[in-house]
Amino acid sequence: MAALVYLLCAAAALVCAALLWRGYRQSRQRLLFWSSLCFGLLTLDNLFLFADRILLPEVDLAVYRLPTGLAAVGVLLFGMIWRAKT
Amino acid sequence: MEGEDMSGDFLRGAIAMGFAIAALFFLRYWRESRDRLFAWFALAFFVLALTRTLLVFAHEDHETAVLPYLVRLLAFLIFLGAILDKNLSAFRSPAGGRARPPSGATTSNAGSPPGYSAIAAPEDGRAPSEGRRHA
Repeated sequence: MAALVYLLCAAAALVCAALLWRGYRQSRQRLLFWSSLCFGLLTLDNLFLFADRILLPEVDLAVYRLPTGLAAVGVLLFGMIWRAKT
Repeated sequence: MEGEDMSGDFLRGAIAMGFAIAALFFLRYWRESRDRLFAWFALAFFVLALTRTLLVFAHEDHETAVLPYLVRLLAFLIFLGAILDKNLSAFRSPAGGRARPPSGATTSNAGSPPGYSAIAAPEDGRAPSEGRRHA
């Protein structure tokens, strides 16, 4: 059950990243680029979660997972703040 | 170890706050454009912020704590549904669902797919809606 949930999270994030990237390739709107990058990193985060809990339960991969999650939200906020010039 | 737990909790808290801030940005975009894609994104990012907060208190290493991840899956499905809904509604509408670019913007989006141009705030920091009001 847990493994399925982790993999579905990764798959959904990957599809979101792909759709946003496709939108970026065709419209060149930079927020789509940052959003796509964010979802790509969230995909990686979820894959690390799967590896951490299911594949390598004896190894603590939180040291890779948490910075990846922080980078994901960081790039999105960077993209939003960078373009919202005041 | 306690030190590792604290740094892990710190990072989880930072991620949760980041998602909450992203949700507020999308809420602002929705308020100014009334585009429901932004409303769904705001909701999903709030849900992600909630799950990351829950993980701090639920002690993530607990094997049976699947509930926060089920909620996380729900958030990703909301994102996916919102993007697909945007594409489908764009294809259905006669105008292709494409927002007109704001005045002064380049027209390089002429070949852009329907349904995506509204997601980006204009370069000058105005709300994404400003081009739509003239549409």
